Parts: sequence; C-alpha cells; structure tokens
Amino acid sequence: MATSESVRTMARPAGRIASPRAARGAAYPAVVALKYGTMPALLILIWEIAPRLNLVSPVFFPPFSVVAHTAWSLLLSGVLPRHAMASVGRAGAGLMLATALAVPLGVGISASRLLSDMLSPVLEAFRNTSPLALLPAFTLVLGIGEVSKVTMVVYATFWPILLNTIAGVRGVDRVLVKAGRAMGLSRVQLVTRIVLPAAMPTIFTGIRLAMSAAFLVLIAAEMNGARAGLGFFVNSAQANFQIPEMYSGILALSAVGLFFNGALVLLGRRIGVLRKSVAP
Amino acid sequence: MSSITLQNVTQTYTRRDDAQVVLRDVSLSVETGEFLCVIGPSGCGKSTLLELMAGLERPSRGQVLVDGRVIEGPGRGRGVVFQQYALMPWLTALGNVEFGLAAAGYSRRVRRQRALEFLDLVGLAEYASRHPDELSGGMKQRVAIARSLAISPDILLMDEPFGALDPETRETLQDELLRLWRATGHTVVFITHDIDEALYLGRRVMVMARGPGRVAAVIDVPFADRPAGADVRTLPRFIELRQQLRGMLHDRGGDAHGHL
Ligand SMILES: Nc1ncnc2c1ncn2[C@@H]1O[C@H](COP(=O)(O)OP(=O)(O)O)[C@@H](O)[C@H]1O
Ligand SMILES: [Mg+2]
Repeated sequence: MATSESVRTMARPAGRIASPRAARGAAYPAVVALKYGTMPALLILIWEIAPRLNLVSPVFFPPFSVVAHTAWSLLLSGVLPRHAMASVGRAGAGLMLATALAVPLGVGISASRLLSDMLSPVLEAFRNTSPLALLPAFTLVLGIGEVSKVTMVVYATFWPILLNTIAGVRGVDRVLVKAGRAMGLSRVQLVTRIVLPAAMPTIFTGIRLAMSAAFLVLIAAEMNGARAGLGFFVNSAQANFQIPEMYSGILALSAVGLFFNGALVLLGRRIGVLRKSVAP
Repeated sequence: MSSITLQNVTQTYTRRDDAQVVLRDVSLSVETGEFLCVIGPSGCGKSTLLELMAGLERPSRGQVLVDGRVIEGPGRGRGVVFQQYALMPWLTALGNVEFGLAAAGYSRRVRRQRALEFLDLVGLAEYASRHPDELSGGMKQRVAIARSLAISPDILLMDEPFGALDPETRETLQDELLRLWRATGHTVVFITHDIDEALYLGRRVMVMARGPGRVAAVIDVPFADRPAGADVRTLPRFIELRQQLRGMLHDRGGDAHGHL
C-alpha cells in the first residue's frame, strides 16, 4: 500500500517516547546527583558553618545539625506529624472546596456573557482584596476554629482557580467544539468531553498556584490563633524561645509544600494534563 | 447512502447593526455517491456552505435537505473533516478515533477494535499511541479522516482538508482519498481553493463567486473512468479545463496567479 511508505518517509517528530536527554541522565546517575544536589548541599553547609563561626548568632540561627536533630526527634515523637496533618487537612479541604466551586463557576462565566458582565465588578473587587487583610474579619465572624481557617483557604484559592478556569475555557480551540458539535455531542457533553479536558492544563496551573496561596494564608491564620497546625507550632515555638523547634517547624512546612507540589505534578502527568517537561 | 440538496439558501450574519449576506440564493444538489468539489475565492462562503450541510449552521432562508428531508442539526450520517484537523490534543491517535465512535454511540466493546481497523485503513496502525503533537500534518489529517470514516457516514464533508499540507503529502492523500471513495462509495463534498485538486478529485466542480457568495458555474469533469494510477493532470483536456476554471475565478475575484 502506498500509505505505509509515505508514512515512513514523513518526519518522525521528537516525541515523549524517547528523549535522548532522559536516556543520558539515566546512564549516569552520578551526573544527575551532582547537577541537582550541589546547590542544596552548599546551602546546608553554609547553614552549618555560619553559626559555628559566629557569623550569625547560633542562638537565633542554630547550625543545621542541631535543627535536624531536633526535627528528627519531633518527627519520631509524633509532634511534627500531628501539626503537619492539621495543616494539610485544612489546606486540602479548602483547596478541594474551592476547586469544586470555582471550576463550574468559571465555565459558567465563560459560557454566558450575561453572567460574566453581572459578576465581573464584584469579582474584580474581591480578587483585589488580599485574603490577609480579611483575616481579622474572618476571625471576628467565624471565630478561630476549623470553619474559619478552611474558609480562609477557600477564599484565597478560589481566585487563581476561577481566573485560570475562565482563561482556559476561553482559550479552547473553537474548531474542537465545532468538531464535537458535528459529531452530535450535546451541550453538556461538549463541556465535559471537550471544553474541560482542553482547558485542564490551564485550570491545573491555577490549582498549583492556589496551593501556594493556601499554605500562605493558612499559616498566617494558624499563627493568628489555633491549637494545632504548623503555623501555630512555629509561632508558639518562637514565643517560648524554642529556636531549634521553630526552625524544625519551618523545615516541615517546606517539606509539606514540596510534597504537595510534587504530588500535584505527578497527578497532572498521570491524568495527561501536564507534559513531562513541566518541572516538579 | 445519501444525497444533499440546497434549495435557495441565503445566509446572513448580523454583526452589530450590519447585516452581511454571506450566501445568496444558493441551490445545488449532490447525488448519492458523487464526489463534488467546491472551489471559490477566499471569503466567498465555502466554509459557511459546508457548515450548513453539516447542520452546524441553520440557513437564514431556504432549506438544506438530506435524502429529501430537512435537516435539524448535525447528524451521524455526516462526517466533517476540517482543515485544522480538529484532533483532541490530550488523546492519542487511537483515542481520537474512539472519541468519534463514542460520540456516535458505539459501545465500548467495539470501539477499540473498530478504531484500530480505521487507523490501519489510513496507514497509521503503528502510530495509534501517538498524540497529535507527535504526528506530522499529513498524519494528523489521516487520523481526522479515520475518525470521520469510522462512524460510517453516508456523507463526507471536507473543508480544505489538505490545504495546510506540503505538495507531496497532499498528492498522496488525494490518491488515498480517491481509493477510499471508490471502495466505500460515500457521497463527498470537498472544498478546496486549488484548481488542480478540484479537477483531480471531483466528478463535478462547483465554482463559487464572491460578494455575495453564490454559485457561478458547475462543470462536469470527464475523467470519471480514469485508470488507477494514471496521471490525468497531463491530459490535454485537463489542461484545458484548468485554463477555463482559472478564467472563471479570475473574472470573479481570484488573485493574479489564478490561485485564491
Ligand atoms: N459565524 C459567523 N459570523 C459572522 N460572519 C461569519 C461567520 N462565519 C462566516 N462569516 C463571514 O462569512 C464570510 C464567508 O466566510 P467563509 O464561509 O469562511 O468563506 P470561505 O470558507 O470561502 O473562505 C466571511 O466574510 C466571514 O467573515
Ligand atoms: Mg473556509
């Protein structure tokens, strides 16, 4: 058949199947370790040496080994995990709630001129009001319990997800929707089978942005008043002059953030939303 | 198998207060199993005409009939192939063909098998697991054609499907399309702005004119019984028809090269 021959002569585009760079990296793990490990190792070294040489006060900035030792025992005793779980639970619940609210609203706003025109002044005002500025108001109205904190997270994460959903849906290639209509898809099917999957990479970017925002406001809220959570832990350690404990809490926060971001990126790749090239 | 008829179709678009007549009083009839090419300068309403036949647009006036019945919207019996391929970038080649089958209501059980069958038909069986961004333009259009053919439409509506391809790939796909058409007997409406393509593929060529879009002429192409593989492009009659079409398009607003 003429077909297979012409197919073979067509340029084979570089695909995700075999990238020469990935192959080279796999061949020399030592090179990879050196490339990615040098800077963190250097930072830790500076952290260790600077207090020991009295370049910074070892009382306010204890060497890495001291902090690591404290962090390790806090980890084993279950103190850090308990506070981390409290924060993760609030951030996760808020993020999921915000996604469940913002994505449908974003689709609706993109689909309806009227809805968009009606909502845009309010949305603009809210979006430009920092959630941190609203923290005292939230505390006043909702107290310092879980509801107040999760609400804060919902508020902070709602905007990036909503705006990215709107941008993603507006950016969907019209011809895909036309093709879907030609195939006989209903309006609902057009949204669920074409518009949402096509907009998903942009929506996903919004969710990743939202995650940073979630931890930012959550830590602030936990410092403002709470009985558990990493923000509360860091704050109370500082107030009690438990300096290595304070840094342990900060380290735990970084770890949780890194973990969540990595998990989101993996999930995105898994469901085909993110390309392999997206850095974790 | 199906025929298409347009009866005095006028299409008007209103932009703000401006009413633009895109098609005026177009009547035409495509017989069952016919291969009709539509050619005309850009902006003369070719795509609009195709979307009317697909049921993606409703005529402002007049009627579009398939097998004598007025159409209400898109239908399973009509497959559409767009110039921009319109493949879902998040799906593989196989996934895209299966997508069309799912939309047409094929059960999950038969989808995979049938999609593979049609990818094989267009010579892409080995590329089933590639995503569109890993395929060349010609391969993407093959996937799109496989997607349309897999739902066994009676009518294939193609809007400049090979317009974005290089000449070599374009000629290969033209031959494949003719081969598929001979094998299946679909009714094909094929839009192009390339005179040679229209004459090579079409059994009839409809020439459109601009301002407002209308039918300028319909000519029969006398190469119906061409032997397989013979290059009719060098026949004196082909060259004559090419001149004739070029003249028509020139008179009605093509550019200086006879291309549009
Ligand atoms: N949905 C639409 N709304 C308004 N104007 C349109 C629409 N579709 C097409 N047109 C107008 O109709 C004219 C013909 O367009 P089209 O059918 O795409 O021509 P062709 O395919 O021959 O280049 C153009 O002037 C275009 O601007
Ligand atoms: Mg067009």
